[in-house]
Amino acid sequence: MTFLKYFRKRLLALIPVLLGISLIAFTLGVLSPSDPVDHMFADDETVTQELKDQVRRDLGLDKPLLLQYGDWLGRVLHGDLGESYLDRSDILGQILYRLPVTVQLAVSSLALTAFWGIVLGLVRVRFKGGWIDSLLGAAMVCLISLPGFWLAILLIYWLAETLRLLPTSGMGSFAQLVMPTIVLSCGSIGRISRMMRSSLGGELGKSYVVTARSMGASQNRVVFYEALPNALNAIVVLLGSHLGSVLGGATIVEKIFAIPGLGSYAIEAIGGRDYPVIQGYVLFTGTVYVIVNFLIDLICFFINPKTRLGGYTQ
Amino acid sequence: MKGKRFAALVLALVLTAFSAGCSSQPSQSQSSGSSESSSAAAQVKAHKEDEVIVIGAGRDMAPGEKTARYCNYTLKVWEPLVEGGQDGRPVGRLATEWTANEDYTEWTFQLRQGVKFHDGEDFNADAVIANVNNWLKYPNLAKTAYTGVTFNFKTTYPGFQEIVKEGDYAVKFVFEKPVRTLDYYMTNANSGMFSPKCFEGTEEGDFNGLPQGTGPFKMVENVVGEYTVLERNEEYWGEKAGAKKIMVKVIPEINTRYSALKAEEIMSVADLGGITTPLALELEKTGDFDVNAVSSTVSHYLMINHDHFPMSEQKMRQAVSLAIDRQMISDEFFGGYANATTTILSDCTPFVSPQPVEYNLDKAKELAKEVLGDQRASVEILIPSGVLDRYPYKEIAEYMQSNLSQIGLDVEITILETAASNERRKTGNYDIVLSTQSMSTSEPYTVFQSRMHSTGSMNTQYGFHYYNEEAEQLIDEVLNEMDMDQRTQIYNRLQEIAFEDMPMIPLVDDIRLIASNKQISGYLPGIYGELFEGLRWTNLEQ
Repeated sequence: MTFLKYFRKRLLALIPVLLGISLIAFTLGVLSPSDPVDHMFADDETVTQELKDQVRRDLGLDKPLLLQYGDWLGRVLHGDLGESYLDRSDILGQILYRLPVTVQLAVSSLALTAFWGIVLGLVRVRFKGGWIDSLLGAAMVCLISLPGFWLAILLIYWLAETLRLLPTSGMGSFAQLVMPTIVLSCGSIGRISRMMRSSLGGELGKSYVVTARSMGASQNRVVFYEALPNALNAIVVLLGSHLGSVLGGATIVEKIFAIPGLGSYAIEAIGGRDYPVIQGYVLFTGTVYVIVNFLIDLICFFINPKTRLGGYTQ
Repeated sequence: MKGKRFAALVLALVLTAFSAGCSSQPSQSQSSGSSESSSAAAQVKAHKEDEVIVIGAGRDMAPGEKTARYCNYTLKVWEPLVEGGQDGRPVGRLATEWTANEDYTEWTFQLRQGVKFHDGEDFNADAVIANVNNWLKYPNLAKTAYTGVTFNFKTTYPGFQEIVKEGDYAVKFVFEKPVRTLDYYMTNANSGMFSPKCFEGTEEGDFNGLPQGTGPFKMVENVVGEYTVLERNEEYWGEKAGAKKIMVKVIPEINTRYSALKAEEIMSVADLGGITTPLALELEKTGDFDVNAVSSTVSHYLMINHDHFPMSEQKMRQAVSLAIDRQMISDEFFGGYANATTTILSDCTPFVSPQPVEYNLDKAKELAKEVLGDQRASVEILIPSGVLDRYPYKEIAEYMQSNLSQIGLDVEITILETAASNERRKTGNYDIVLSTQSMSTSEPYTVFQSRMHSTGSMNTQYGFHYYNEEAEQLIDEVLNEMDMDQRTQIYNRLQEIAFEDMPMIPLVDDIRLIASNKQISGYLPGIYGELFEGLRWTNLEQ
């Protein structure tokens, strides 16, 4: 199969996936208790049932569920994600407005995660079995175990409130990016460094490495040119998964640090039963996940051409 | 083996360090005792007048163009014809005086002269008429005014026929039927005025840009969901605001707001739940903050399902009310910043007639025994999760669980996501809901109608199942009662019925609390919101 055919096949597979997840998201939304109209007027007891029913009719919430989904799908196929039920803002506009914020967070978190995850993993392999390896191992377990919200509050307390080195919240400057990036990266740094140690350690035990050493290759050459590329496959998959999840929106981090990203947008929509926003968000994040997974496959291939990708060969 | 022991030791050290971090977090019983407090309290830092004062808010106070008023009244960008005074009674703002005809079908308002909107347009009768005509474009004549407040034209101006110009600075509202207390209905968001140019070229009465009001502040920038920037209106008709520039920053998480206060990133907070009482008192202890409080229109109460035994029994409701030590709730859970109450109306409301507050466990046991005999009964207290970071509802419910068990009630506490909780209320699938109430107008009829009348929203929309024949008749009667004294008598009697019959069980009236850095002054809480106009830097650089 050529690369182009493979690419086309993956692209076509995207369509049923997106249809499926948007239908599931819609179904879960309408089946969950309450509806956006109740949420809109929840605090106001003077609002009559008559008004609420009229608003439901205006929003099309009185139509059969399949028809509501069909109407939404029809609009999406014309590039229109519709308006939020709650504040009537344009959904595509909001996603595009929040996307750069989320991308900024995701990229910085990915960079920090990749760098420290790989470096710490390499250090552990270098000093395997020694006290440095043990110390780092314990530290990585801590990083993986720490709840993100707790770490966020702790960092705000130390770095912002007490030492006043960084701002507590917001987005727009490098200083405001530091703490959210750290919080988002910690757990993944722990996981990646452990995977790095395990994966690279495994490669270094293989026969081709022994052969390379016996042929006079230096330790650095053996590690960085022979073993590391083979060990990176698993790392790339983990990094891709991390990127995908952050691009979908880091909800808790965005709320604690007052970051106007996709995560906070989604959680407000879920709380308010804002169905069009939920579906627009699911559609967007579903697309992102599939694209990221595809890119991971591509990177894996280029890192190690021996890797077979579901029957794909050059 | 050596490596494993070493790793375990490191892990223990790390956990100890993190625990130290945890224990430094503020709590109700701990004092922060900051070492920088004495030096900071001794000297208040001087600021340039044009340095922006940053205030933090938990939610967006300027939700924008597609709302009825663009932003919360607190920001003082726009002004109403009639505002709610600090005693809840209507006070003229852009209207100087008003009269009604004999049968209250025509209300004439004299308008303040010499007032301009921020875009330079004159405030006059034509502007008022343009605003009213814009309200008539709202779909279903209703729209969210700003976060948490709905402007409903039909209920605010019931039977509206037309608005007539009676000169350059007078307008007359004409109604099909008498509206005795129109001025009470019109307070604050219900008569907000904007330059007619704000609505040009838009559908459904939306704004076409930043709001152009008449207030002491102009809005110069707004990023929805993030921040709002206000500048002092140097052409304001009244006393000019203290601050030249204010930024209201949205910080949703309460702990982050607390840290921002301590880090001096924000000087104070605004809006409901801006700071909780325990955190405000912690800030006060540092010596760098002042805490100010005022009664608010918010009340906390137990909403009862009158269709579920045993709460369907009047004696059981009275027993539950007697078994609750409201003063203890105020002291322990609100830090003393709440007023014990058994009155259906908030203590800020005009027409409030306070009812006796009593805590008597023995009497409660006797009444409960009359209902339950020697049996015990289970009841569920439902708490919507959305209010937990604002009010100590979980603690109140746990206290009630303990006390009510002594009168034969086994209480189960359920915390549900807000929307799920609303659904349970809608379907009548609840026993008791711990809830808040605030008043959107100064007219108490809306409270009685919604909570005690068979056609009220509590019955029709929230599975209340309450009916009291005398209350029903009185509520129907008061709508047509034109004599104010008689009207007051009816409201008093309705409050007595609510006390005896307990359609709901009031607990405490909220006291709005704000903590402000001493670097600012004049920033006080009002019953409807913070008084932004008084805010200023304490020390100005010469």
